[in-house]
Amino acid sequence: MRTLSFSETNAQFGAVAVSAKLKWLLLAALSAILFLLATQQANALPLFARQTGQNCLACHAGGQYPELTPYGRYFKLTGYTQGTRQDIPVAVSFVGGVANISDNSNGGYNNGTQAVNNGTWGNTQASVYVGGKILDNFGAFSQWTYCWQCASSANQVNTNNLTPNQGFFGADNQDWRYADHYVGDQASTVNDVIWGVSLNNNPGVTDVWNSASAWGYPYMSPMPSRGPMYNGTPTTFMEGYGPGLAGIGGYVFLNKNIYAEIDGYQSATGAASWLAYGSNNSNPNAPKMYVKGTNPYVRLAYQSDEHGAHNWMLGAFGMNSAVYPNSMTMLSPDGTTYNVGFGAPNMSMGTTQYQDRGIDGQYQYLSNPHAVTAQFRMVKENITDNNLLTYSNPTNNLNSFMAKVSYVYDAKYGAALGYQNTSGSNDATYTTTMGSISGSPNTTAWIPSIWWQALQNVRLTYSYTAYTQYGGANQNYDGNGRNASANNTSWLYLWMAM
Amino acid sequence: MKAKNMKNTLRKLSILAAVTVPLVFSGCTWFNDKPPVSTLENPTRSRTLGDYEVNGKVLAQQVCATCHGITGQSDSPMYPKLAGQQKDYIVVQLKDLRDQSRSDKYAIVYMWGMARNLTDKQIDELADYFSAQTPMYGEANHSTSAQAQLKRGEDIFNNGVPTAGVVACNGCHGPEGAGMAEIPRIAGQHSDYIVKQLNAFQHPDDKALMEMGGNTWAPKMYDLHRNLERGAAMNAMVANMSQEDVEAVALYLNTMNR
Repeated sequence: MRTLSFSETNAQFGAVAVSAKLKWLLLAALSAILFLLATQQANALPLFARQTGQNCLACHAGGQYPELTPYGRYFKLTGYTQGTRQDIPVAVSFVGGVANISDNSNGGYNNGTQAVNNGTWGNTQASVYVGGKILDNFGAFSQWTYCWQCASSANQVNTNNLTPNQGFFGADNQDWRYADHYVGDQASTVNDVIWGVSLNNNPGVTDVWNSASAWGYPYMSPMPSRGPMYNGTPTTFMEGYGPGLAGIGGYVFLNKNIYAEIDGYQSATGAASWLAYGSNNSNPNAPKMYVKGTNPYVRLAYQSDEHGAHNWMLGAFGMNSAVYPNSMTMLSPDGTTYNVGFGAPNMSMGTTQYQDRGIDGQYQYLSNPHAVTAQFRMVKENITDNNLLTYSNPTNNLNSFMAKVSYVYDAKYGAALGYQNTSGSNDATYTTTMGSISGSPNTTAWIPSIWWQALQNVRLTYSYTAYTQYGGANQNYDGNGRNASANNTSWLYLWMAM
Repeated sequence: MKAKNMKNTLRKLSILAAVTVPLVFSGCTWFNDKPPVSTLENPTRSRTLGDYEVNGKVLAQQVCATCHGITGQSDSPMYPKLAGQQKDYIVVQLKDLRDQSRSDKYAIVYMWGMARNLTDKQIDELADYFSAQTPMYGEANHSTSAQAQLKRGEDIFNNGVPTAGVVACNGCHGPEGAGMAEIPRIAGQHSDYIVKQLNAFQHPDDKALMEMGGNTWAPKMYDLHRNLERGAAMNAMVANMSQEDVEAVALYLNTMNR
């Protein structure tokens, strides 16, 4: 779920190097948990399924986690509190597979090798989830992830002498909620109120519609050292940033139609530092992200009533953020330096400010055995970087558009087609990060995928990312003859949970 | 060297702590969640299943209503309408779901978990709540292409299909399809739901390899059927009904009481 946020945001993401010995220790702990889970009869992430006794299909549209059904949204908004508290409130998941970038030979950006083990098996991440129902009104989605090779990417290794292929364990998505639900007289105007507060670590992780970037298609991406599938392409702050900030917010859902939420995000320091557990400023691969003051996030949405099997949502969201740059910089071709997202934060030079505004929507048709879901998201971002900390221009803009439609039959066979487009002002930074000779961030990709769920908790997916534009061009975007399609990436991967 | 070792140990300890602290935090209350020791802080708006203290009406509004509708008039065709359903029918069905003797596919997927920890008292209160609502109403179906199908459905409802051994529905479910005692109200019900149930009655020998709830990695061959004893009459009566007739009568039922 972009639970894989690690891989997408390795630059800002914090984590701790794990020694070989410790790996075994973690493995042993994991085995113990697996054993306990295996011997637990019929109790259900699988944690939530054990809590409600229902199959994944009840909360996930067509069983395609992480997409939620109306009931799944209710379950999350009421604080994961429905059901029976579990004796062992734990679930685990694993993602891994074979990724293959079309042309790995000449290193499309930064003149480095793109993928370390192209075309061979690679583990992506293993997570432990805890929480679920804790008290009557209090519950949690708390994900802790070990991620293979995710705090370093090959090109950065080559040019900055960072540690290659470093694995990390740290806090992934965190959403701890207190929630209450009032049911009133059906004749009155306001007859149903859900409200709650959330302590979380990722703007958008609280969202219940899958048009939001935190839980949107394609959900997962291969490890970053596998190429620029996602991590090379520029993303807006909101869409690209993963877990690692300390956020607290409140929300209200009226008549199951009108949703409003406001959160404030600060650096995860002091008592809140566990929300960025794993970040470590002494590890240049994975420093903690520091933001200035409180950074507001606002989300509004209108969800339709269910009309038979149909329901839809239209929404808007926004965030202002001021981010301290990391200390490690590189030289752009035009002679300016830019921040590469590695190294301890530099708190003395001011911040780079991002202003994100977006709209999104979702449509679902859910009638067993058929499930059709469609989402779109549009974000406009203004970037102000007066001290040229991260960019070469004092102001930039970046716009992104995403749309996706999918169909699942009998929660077993699924297919989806996604479209992503990023466009914005030229900046020399993109020449170094993406290899775009023109400095253009403009990138367009089609992302089809098909999957098979042999069991409700085992999904085998084949996805393909086809670039029709990369760094502003279809042909020869890097000036050395590399075409956008050279970055096309296929990924056959297994996603399982228990 | 010594300092380095110390640092490593500390780091290991902190990682271990990061794993175990949340585990303990979320699990520390696990010893006292078993009835009859109630741990409810908010019994009037609780979504807790498996605690005798929560009233059935609270469960109806906080849990059941999410899919079945606050008045039992569910919008989604995946979930049956319960509004004005016969109380005795709701009671026996919830008990069948609780003891897993009703095991049509979506009963396993959605309802086994919901019903597994209900007490008899809660079932009674739930049934009171939904049976007292304004009876479920159907949807208008004016499409001209459906008129022949509706006519066929009406004919089956009133006269059965003598050649296939199908007895008229109104014989047991009543002329208005309102049901009685353990015989369910069917007028105004979702046609998708009716089709799925008639098919379950038709094929009591169906099986499927599936997982149930969070019992992952333990796929089992489940027998897919309604309660065999309680459903015996229906099993026999609809055994030879054609799929066209099943769909016709389901469509007709959905247009009743509107």
